[in-house]
Amino acid sequence: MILEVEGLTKSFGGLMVTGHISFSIQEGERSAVIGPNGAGKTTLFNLVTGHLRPDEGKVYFQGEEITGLPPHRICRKGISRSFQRVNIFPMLSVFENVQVAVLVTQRKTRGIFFSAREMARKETQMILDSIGLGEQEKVISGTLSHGDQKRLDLGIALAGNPRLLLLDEPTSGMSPEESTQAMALIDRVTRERGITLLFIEHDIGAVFALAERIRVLHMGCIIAEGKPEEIRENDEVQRIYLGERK
Amino acid sequence: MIVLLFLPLAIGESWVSLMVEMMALAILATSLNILIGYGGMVNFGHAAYYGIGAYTCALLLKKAGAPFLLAMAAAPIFSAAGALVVGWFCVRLSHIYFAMLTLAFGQIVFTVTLQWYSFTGGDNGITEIPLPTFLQSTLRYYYFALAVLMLCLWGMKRIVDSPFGKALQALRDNPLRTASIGINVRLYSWMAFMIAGAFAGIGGALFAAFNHNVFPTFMHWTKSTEALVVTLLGGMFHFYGPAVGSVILIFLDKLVTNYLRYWSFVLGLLLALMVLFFRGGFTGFLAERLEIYRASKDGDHDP
Repeated sequence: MILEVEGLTKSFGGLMVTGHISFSIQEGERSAVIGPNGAGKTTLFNLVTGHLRPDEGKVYFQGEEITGLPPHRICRKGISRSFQRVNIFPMLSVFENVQVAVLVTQRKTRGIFFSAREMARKETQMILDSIGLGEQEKVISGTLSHGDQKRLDLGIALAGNPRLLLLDEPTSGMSPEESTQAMALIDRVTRERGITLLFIEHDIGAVFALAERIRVLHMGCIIAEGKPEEIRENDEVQRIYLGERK
Repeated sequence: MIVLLFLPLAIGESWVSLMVEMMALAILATSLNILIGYGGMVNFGHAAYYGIGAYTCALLLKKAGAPFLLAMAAAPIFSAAGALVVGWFCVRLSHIYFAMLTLAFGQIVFTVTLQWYSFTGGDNGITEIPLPTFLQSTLRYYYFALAVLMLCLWGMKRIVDSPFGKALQALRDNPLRTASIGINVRLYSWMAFMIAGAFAGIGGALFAAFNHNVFPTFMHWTKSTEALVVTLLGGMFHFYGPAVGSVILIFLDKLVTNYLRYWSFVLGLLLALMVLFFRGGFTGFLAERLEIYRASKDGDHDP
């Protein structure tokens, strides 16, 4: 088990956003979390990555407890994430965006007396090429198109050399074609690097295309978990979530 | 650079002193810009570390009779120590709360200096600071100051171009994401705060020795805003922006006050225009022109 979550609970001012969530993820698995808005999906991510501290419950990563550690320490253990909104370094160039994350992974950001300009060029270049932004390395990232910013966002997450990748709505704000491309890209890079993937997604087509396992979250609880075909046939899921969309 | 070497031989002594003043301000403002332009942290109490540097140098020379270079070297160490203590509290907050806390601590340092008569001389300051004979002429001090300025700018440039500097810029752009790529945001902000404080201390010591006197006003918040104004004038998104801003401010001050009594009015107007129309300050404006010029030149070559 690469990730184990036991009874995670978080309330905001009396409103229980996640209630005793427990599940575990196997190494190499590619799974999705789906559920209506407000189901607690992003909160769940934030609890795992240390952006929020759970009221109760525990999180184990590769057998080691990581509950309540600050985000930067959890990241260094091998969990990278992306955010629902594009979350890049808008004033830095495309190259620098990925480079800085590579430098952190290589533990080199404490160096203060030598130039960073050409450092980690090979690793950075490799990531940029694999996300298809190699040609645009000098562009200031804030001026990229939304789709390219999302790809860069993924590149920054990959630079952490993660064992587990959490993506929060990787196709949000994309056209159907862009969305298909993005999922293909995620499919390829996670396969190439043997990364375990957990993603939140509203685009059901994208979910069924990639996820080997799906967990359905509703009002802070997991109401169903299983293979895509099982989820598709689950009556409760149909009623609460999938049915809503028809 | 060469101009700076020969310029003092061509101009009057009062202008040379003005240039020394300008260089001290340039160090202070550039160090402040490590926090603002590179780290995204607006510090309203930065003069405190400039002042600590100035008083460290003054006290060591006047009361302890320490050698000059030792006094100069001790200044950044004490300033860094001060910044380390204050920074520890400040980096726990962000945005306006960070700014207000730096202001509050800055004023605490100012008030302590103002009231502690037996040690700092209170509002009388410390006067008649002795200088070694080899630096007693204005011209010689000018060259000393120039060397210190160059050394500081070189050091700070290395720092902002380093991997640490890159991490700092990432932090400015997006603290949330910076934490998520594995950077301890508080620790890095804290280190930046200390580094900026240390360099500010060198600026303070440089000016203190030249001025022969130090006063609590060196660490008043108005001194902090002076550095802030200079940074905005010159441009905070360019390494040399604050230094350029210092030149503009000091010379404009001198020129305008020669003819007009309303210097602050002119400065206010200039600042308002800068902020409204040229966010990048003077250097940003130049860089933009250069970009347009280059683009038009490239355009000629395109098929």
